[in-house]
Order: sequence, then C-alpha cells, then structure tokens
Amino acid sequence: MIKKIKLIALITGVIFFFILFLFFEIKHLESEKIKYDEFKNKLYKIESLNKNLNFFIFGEKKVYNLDKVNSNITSVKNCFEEIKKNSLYYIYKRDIEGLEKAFLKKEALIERYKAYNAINLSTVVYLIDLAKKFDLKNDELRKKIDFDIFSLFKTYLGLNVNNVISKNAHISGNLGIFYDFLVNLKEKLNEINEIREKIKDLKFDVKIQNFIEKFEKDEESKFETTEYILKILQSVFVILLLIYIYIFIKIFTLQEKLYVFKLMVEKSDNSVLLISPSFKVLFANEMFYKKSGFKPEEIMGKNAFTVLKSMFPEKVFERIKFHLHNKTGYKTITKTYSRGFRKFYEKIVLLPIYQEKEFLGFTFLKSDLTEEVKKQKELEYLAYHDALTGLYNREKLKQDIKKCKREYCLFYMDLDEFKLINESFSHDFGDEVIVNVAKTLKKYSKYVYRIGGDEFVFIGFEQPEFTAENVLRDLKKINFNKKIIELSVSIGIVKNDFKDYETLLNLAEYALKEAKKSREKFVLFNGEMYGRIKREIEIIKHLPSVIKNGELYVKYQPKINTKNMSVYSLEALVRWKNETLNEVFPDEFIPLAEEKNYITEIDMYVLNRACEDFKLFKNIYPDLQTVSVNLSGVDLIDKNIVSKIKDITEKYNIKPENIEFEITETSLIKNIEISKKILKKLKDEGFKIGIDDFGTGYSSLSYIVSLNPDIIKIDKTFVDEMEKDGNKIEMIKIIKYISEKLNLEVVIEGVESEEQLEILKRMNLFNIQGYFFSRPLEKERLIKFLKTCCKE
Amino acid sequence: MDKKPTYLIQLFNKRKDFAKMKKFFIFIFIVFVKAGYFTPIPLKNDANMLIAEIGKRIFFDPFVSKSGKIGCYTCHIPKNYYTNHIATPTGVDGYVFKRNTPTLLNIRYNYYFEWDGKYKTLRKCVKEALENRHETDITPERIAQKLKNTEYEKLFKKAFKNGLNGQNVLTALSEYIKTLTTPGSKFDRFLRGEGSLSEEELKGYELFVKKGCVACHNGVLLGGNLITKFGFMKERKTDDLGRYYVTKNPKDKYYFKVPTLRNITETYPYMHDGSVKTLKEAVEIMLKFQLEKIYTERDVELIIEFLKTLKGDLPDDKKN
Repeated sequence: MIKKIKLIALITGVIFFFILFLFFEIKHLESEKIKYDEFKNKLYKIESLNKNLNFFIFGEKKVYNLDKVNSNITSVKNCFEEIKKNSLYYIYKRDIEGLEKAFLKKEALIERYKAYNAINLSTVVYLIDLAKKFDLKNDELRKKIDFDIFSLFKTYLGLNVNNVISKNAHISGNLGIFYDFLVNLKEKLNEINEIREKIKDLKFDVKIQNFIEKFEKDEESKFETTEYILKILQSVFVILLLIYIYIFIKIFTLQEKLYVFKLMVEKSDNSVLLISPSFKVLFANEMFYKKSGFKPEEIMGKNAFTVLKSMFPEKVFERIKFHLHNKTGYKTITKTYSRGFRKFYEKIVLLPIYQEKEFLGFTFLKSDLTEEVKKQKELEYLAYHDALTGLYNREKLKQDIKKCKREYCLFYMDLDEFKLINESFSHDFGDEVIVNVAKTLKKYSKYVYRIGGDEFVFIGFEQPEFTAENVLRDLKKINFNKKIIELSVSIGIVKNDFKDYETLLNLAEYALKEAKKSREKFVLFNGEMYGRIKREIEIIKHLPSVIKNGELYVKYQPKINTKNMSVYSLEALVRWKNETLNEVFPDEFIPLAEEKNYITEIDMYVLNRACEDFKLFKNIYPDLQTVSVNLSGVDLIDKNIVSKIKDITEKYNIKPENIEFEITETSLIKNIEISKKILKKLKDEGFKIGIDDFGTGYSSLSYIVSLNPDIIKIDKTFVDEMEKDGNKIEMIKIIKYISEKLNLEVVIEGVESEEQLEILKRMNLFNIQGYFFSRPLEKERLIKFLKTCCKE
Repeated sequence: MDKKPTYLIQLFNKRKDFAKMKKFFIFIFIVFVKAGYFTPIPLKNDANMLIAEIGKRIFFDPFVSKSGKIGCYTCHIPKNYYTNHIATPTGVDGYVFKRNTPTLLNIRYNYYFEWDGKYKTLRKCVKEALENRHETDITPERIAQKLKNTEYEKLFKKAFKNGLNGQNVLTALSEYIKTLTTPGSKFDRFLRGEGSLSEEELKGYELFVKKGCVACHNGVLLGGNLITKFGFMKERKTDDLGRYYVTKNPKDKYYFKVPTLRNITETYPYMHDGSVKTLKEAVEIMLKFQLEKIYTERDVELIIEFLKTLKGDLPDDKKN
C-alpha cells in the first residue's frame, strides 16, 4: 500500500514537473501573446484613426475642428512609436517602415489639404458675400455668375463637373477681379482634388489592411501550438486531479485506519515499545510510561538496551539482548521492575517486523499479568492451604511427598478426645485450640499439614523421637486466653522408604492407632507393625465373604458356679478359620469388622448359632440356664437390632431370659443415649444385660447404674496375679460390695489357677469363667464336657 | 442663406418672454457648437506642480542666461500676458528679431510651435528658445552645470530621481509653461454652459462663423492648429517667407501658423511681424482679403466684441 502510494507520488511528481515546464512555456507564449495583442491593437488603432482622417479628407463636411485632425495624426505617430518599441517590430521592420513612410507622405498631403481647405472655405464664403454686392442689371451676366458659382460649388463639393469658368472679355473692374478670384479658386479646388487623388493613390488604408491580414496570419499560427499545449495541459490536469483524488482517498482511509490503530496502541492495556533496527526507541505508549515509570524525554531516541536493562531481571534481559541481536522473536512471562521499584508480573513479547523481507524494527509488547499471577497464587494457596490455620492441606502433602527425594520422618498427630473439647466448650474454642496447635507445630517443622479436623501431619528430618517428645511436651499445656488447656495428643511416626503417599499415610495412621492403643503417646512405625497391617488388610479383604463361606464358627466357654460346681451359663465366642489366614482371632477381626460395619451380621450369626446350640445343650445338661452373646457398640446404634434379635429367638423358640448380652463399656461411649434406649428395650423384652471387661474403661459407677445391667463381668486384668497383689483383691472386694448393693450378679473372668479360685471363694464370689475350668470349646467338645460334668 | 444661421437667435429675440425656452435653445446651440468647431480650455491643469515650481524659478532667474542679465521673463512679461508689446523685439546682442513675440499663455495647446511651425513639441521649442544665440544663448546642460551647488540642486533632487541635469531643466521649464493657461474666459464659460454671451457678443460670434474665420481659427485656441497662406488670393508681400525656411518647399512660401485668438486683445501688436498695431486693423485685414470692402463697420465692432470674450484671467503669478 505504502509502496503503491510512493509510486503514484513519484508519477505525479514527474507529471507536476512536466506541467511546470508547460506552464512556463505557456507563460512565455502568454507574454508573446500580449505583445502580439498590443501590436495588433496598435495596428487596428492606426487603421481606425486613418479612417477618421479619410473622413476628414473625403467627407462632405467642410468646416472641421482641426484640433481633432491634429490629434488623430499625433495618435497615429504615437502608435508607430509604440509599435517600434514592441519586439515584434524587428520581424516586420520593413513593412512598418513602409507604412510609416506612407503615413508621413499622407501627413504632408493632409497638411497641404488643411491649408487649402481653409483657404478655399473662407474664399468661397467671401466670394458668395462678394457676389451679392454686385448690382447687376444684365440678366445674362447675372445668369452666368450664378451658373459659374453653382459650378464652382459643384467642384467644391467634389461633384466632378468639367465646367470651365471663363472670364468674358467685357467683364472688367471689380467684377473682373471677382472672376479672377473665381478662376483662381477653381484652380485651387482642382488642386485640392489632386491632393485627394494623391492621398488615394497612397492607398495607406489598403496597405495597412493588407499588413494586418498578413500579420494576423503569420502570428496566429504561432498560437495554434499554444492552444495545442493548453489542451494537453487541460487533459493532464484532469488526469492529475483524478490521481490526486485517488491518492487522497487512499491516504485518508489509511490515515483513519492508522489513527484508529494509533489510538488502539496508545490506549492499549498492554505496554508497547517500538525499536528501530539500530536499537533506538521509536515509540512508547501511555501504558509503557505508566508501568515503567519513564518519562517520554528519557527514552525517546535512546538506546533500547539501556532502557530495557533496568526493567528486567538480568537473566531475562540477557535473553532479550540475544534475541534483539539475532532479530528473532521471544516470548516469556517474567517479573519486571518499574522506576518506583514496583514489581509486576508481565508477559513480554518481542516481535521483529519484516515487510517484504525488509527489516523494519521490533515491537516490544508487555502485558501485565500481576493480577492473574496474584490470583493464581491465591488459588494455589487456597488449594494447598488450610483456611483456618494457614497450614498446608492434604493436597499439598500429597504433592510434597511425591516431590520429596530426601529421607524424612512423617509425623501423624491427632488430638485425643478433641470431640469432647468441642462439645464441652464450643466449636469456636475448638478452632482456637487447633490454631494454637498449628502455631506450636510450626516451631518444629517447616512442613506442617492439617489433613483433618484434629489431624496434623508434619515432617521432620532427624531424630524423630526427640522431636516427638518436644512436641508432646509443648502441647501438653497450651496457654491461651489466660486459660491453660491440657491437651493429650498421639503421634504416629513413619520413616519414608520412598513409599507412595497412600501407603505412607496409612502406615502413619496405623502407627498413630498403635500409639493410641498403647497409650505411649508416640509410636515409631516398625517392621512388626508392617506385618500386622498386612494381615489386617488380608482380613478386611476376606471379611465380606466370611459368613457366606461358612468360615465362622462358635466356641463356647462355660461359666461355672463353684458352690455346686455346675455349669450355669455359656459364653458364645466367635472364631474364624480361613484357609489362607488360618485361625483369625477375634481381637484381630472384631475391631475391623466394627470399622467396616460387618459386626452386626457377625453378631447375629453368632446369636443364631448360640440359640440353635442352646436347645441341644439344654437337652443334655438341664441345669444350663443362659447363653451369653457379645454385642458390639455398633450393634447398639442400629434401631432395628431389637426386632432382629427377637426374630431370631422366636425362630428357635428360646425364652429371652435364657439369652444374655455382653457389652463392653468402651463400646457404648460413642452414642450413649441411643445405646441406653436400645438396652432398655432389650431389658424390657426380658433379655439379660451384662457389662463385659468391667474396670478397664473410664466407666463411672453412675454410668453403669444408668445402664441398669443384670451382670458385671470383672475383667481378667483384676484376676491376673491377684494372689501377689493385694490392691487387686481390694478392688474386687469393692466391686463386689457395690454390686451386692445394686443387686447385680458378678462374674469373674480369666481364672487360671486354684489359688485364684480359692481367694475368690473366700470372697464369696462363685461365678467363675476361665481356663482353670475350661477353654472355649467347640460344640462337640462342649457336649462331651457337659456329659462329663453330668457324671460328676 | 444669410438668415439661416441667425434664425435661432432671431427667434429668441422675438420671444423674450420665453426666457426659459431661450436658455434651453442656447444649451442645444452650445452642444452643437461644442461638437463643432470650438472646445473650451480644460479647467484642470495636468502639469506637475512640484516640477513646475522649479521651472518657475528658472523662468524668472536671469542667472540661467549666458550673460546673466536676461531671462525668459525679459520678453515673455507676465503682466503683459507673457509677451512684450513690441513688434519685433531686439535681442541681447542688438539683433532685431524678424518676428513678433508670441504669448506663452495657452501655448501648450498648440499643434505647431513658432510662427513657421518649426517644432511640434513644447519641449523642443523651449530648448530652441534657450539655445538661440540672440536670446538666453545657453544649453540646458550648461544651465544644469550653473545650477550645481545652489539650492536648485536640492529642489531637483527632491523632484527628480536623477537630480539635476539638462533634460530635467528642460522638463521643469516646460512644466511651468504648461501651467500658464487661462481657462476662465467668458467664452469658455459660454462653451461650458456656465454663462451666456451678450446679444452683441453673440452676433459677433455669429459673424465670426459666418464670415469663414472659423475655417482657420478653430479648436481650443481658435488657431494654432494650422499652417496656411497668409493672404490667399493676393500674396502679401513680406520679406519673411515663413514656412518655406523650414520645408524649403516653394509651395510653402508665405505660409505661417494661424495664431491663437485667445487673449487677443492683450497681445498686440499683431501679425507675425507685429506690423498691425490695433485689433480693429487686424480684423479688417483679415476680413478684407485685400480686396473689396464687403463688411460694415458694425460687423468689425461686433467681431471685436466677440474677440473680447476670449480674454481670460492671468494665472496666479501675474504680479511677477
């Protein structure tokens, strides 16, 4: 486009000079024309003046104001003078000189004519006056005089009458003189006519006419070329005009476009910098100045490197420099600095501009991404941080574990009974506690993550035990709002053996569980634990199909009344035998089943078996009063559990008072209220309720009373080595005392020796369960055992 | 034939009541006359007054002549209507001129200058008059030399671009002479329609036309535009051959310029040689054609009455 316009401008320039040339040519011709016109006008003037003179000479008017004649002559002479001044005179010098000569001759003749005419006129007037004076009686003479004067007049008036005025012989005296005058005058008149003829012979008017014709013919041919040139000029002018209109339209539209572009560039949100091929700054827009803090006079025409150097980190600047030298494009996102040391995140684009292989320079664009980067960072923060504490979250942990190549220890921390804090104070308070814990943890590690409500993970690199102890010590007493809160936390620690996130966290969690179980506050995961976990996983894998495959079976442990040495009750204990896992102990799989919600199913299976077998056992051993079945805490949340139990007992036609449900107190804690209601319902139906493992939990007596049980089973821990520990015996005594007061039946578990039995007997505790009498036995073996008991 | 030209005038005289009618007819008459033979002297003088002022000083300065005794004003005496009332004046060197001194008044309107029409421009005429050895006998260039280092030089520098030189001296003098006009005569006013002539004067005017005087005496100056024979029918014997000296043409013997009739009453004596002392004589000579008396005394008186109307006021500087 621009090249086109350049070309057109060149063409029009050439045409312009051509026109200029023609213009001067015409101007020259114009001056020629003026000269020509002047010359011609003078000639015409001479011609017309000559006509006036001819009118004077040949006209009928005889009395003339001679001033006019004289001025005519003078004018003609002046005309000749002026013609001589004209440059065209030299071309027609001979003609003009001829004309002038003729005119001078004519002038002389006119002078003469003037003189004669004046004389004759006054003479005629005089003679006429004189003729009147004569008093003539002779008619003939009178007639002659009249006739002669008449003929004289005719002559005077130019009516060419060849009358001869003759003087008669008898005329004398004054009349004679008169006649002499008359004759004389006649001659003079003839002379005048002669002068007239001479003037005619000069043919000045014809000569001048001929000359004018010749002159016009000669000169006008010259101006034909002028007209020709004028025509060319006209057409060229029109063409030029059209071209210019075209150019102007083009330029205007281009300009408009450019203006819009310019506005766009100037008002753009992006910084724009134009750099010339010699690395000079050509242009910068408003945004550039705003963002960079430069002023126009500071950068315009300056070296681009010095301008750019202060704006970018050194590495980026080196890249830019490299690309500028190589005339290549470059694109990146970088930090930029402005004059006021403000920082931006900007996307920079360096673009070399080529037009038809001609290198024109660079455009350097910057767009501000600061906001975006900030937002992104915020988002990233939100994605990887916990909102409450500002700690990293689970997601971040996941990524960090993936990234980390170092050896480290992962600490899995949990606040014990955090739920209680929430409930007894408030959730806001709970949050504050969490925040404080987070603060404390930050002291020990850079990498602290909150991955659950009260679960934290942090990473340490050396001496995990030492760190854990410090953390525990610090968290024991948290001081805030002038209150001192005692916190109990558990920590599971696992060393990474470059395991993946899931496993690592699972292991840590397991360690934590172990810590909680063992009440050691922190546990370092080890290989033994790993084996256990492996088995647990296997168990969990087999749990869903355990009943369907008939892998479960029930063992019964008899409870014996030592007063009369009779088996009064049996405890149904579930056992699991699997092909791959072999014997799976209830300790192993019951918690898992509770966790995975298989426990109700298992318990109901056990109840089924127990009910079925109880009938059989009753037949063999009629003294048998009850069979006891363990119920998990999970069962006691189920609202349908009572109807399920009733269904089973009715199915086997077993009375409720023959069934005893054993419940551990710890299992009830989770949902006390619901459990209480269910227990009450069961009790109302007539089932017996026993508290298992009494004394191991946090159980308060009022709590036990509120459950309103029938039986208390004192835990094995009280019985173990009771013969050496007097405190245990005291404890049992107190329990016995209380239960007697509350009218509760007491059963002792885990009796393994005769000594223990003796001690218990002395304490009047007769309901005994334990290896001393029998291990839990399978159905067939129990039948044998019962038969032997009957024999005794 | 004799009554026709007077018809209108008679008509006016008979019906005096119709004064307005008369005025009207006079106007038409004037138009007719004006278109015909006579033209009034232009009221506006186109002379350059600044230059004319210098010319005037030179005109009245005897310093410019060769002898330093005389100047232009010696013969062209302003109070005598720029002539000297001498038939044939005597030059500085005692030479008696052959011809009468013409008046300078209105001389610029002449077609021919000098009695024999030797020059056709005033400038040439002035030059001749200056260089004439019987008169001031000095060339314009010499005048210019003389005027150097006088206050004239300043004046010339003021008026001319090229300052003081011979040509400019000539110009100055010519320009001054151009200012010498008498446009205020009664006849001029009559011609311009600003005034009227008395009955006698009108009659004289009528006679002037009727008797054929107008054949030679016409134009602005009532003369000055024609060179013709003095005495048509009968040659007047004088020593002066007139135009013959100029043209050497035998036909031009006794040919003289027809002089102006302006201020004729003041510029006596008359004729080229100043031979006629009174105006009456002069008129009679011109009427008589040296022949029969065909005019009455009354006619002459009337013509003189008319000629008196041609007298105009002197230009402002007549006191000098």
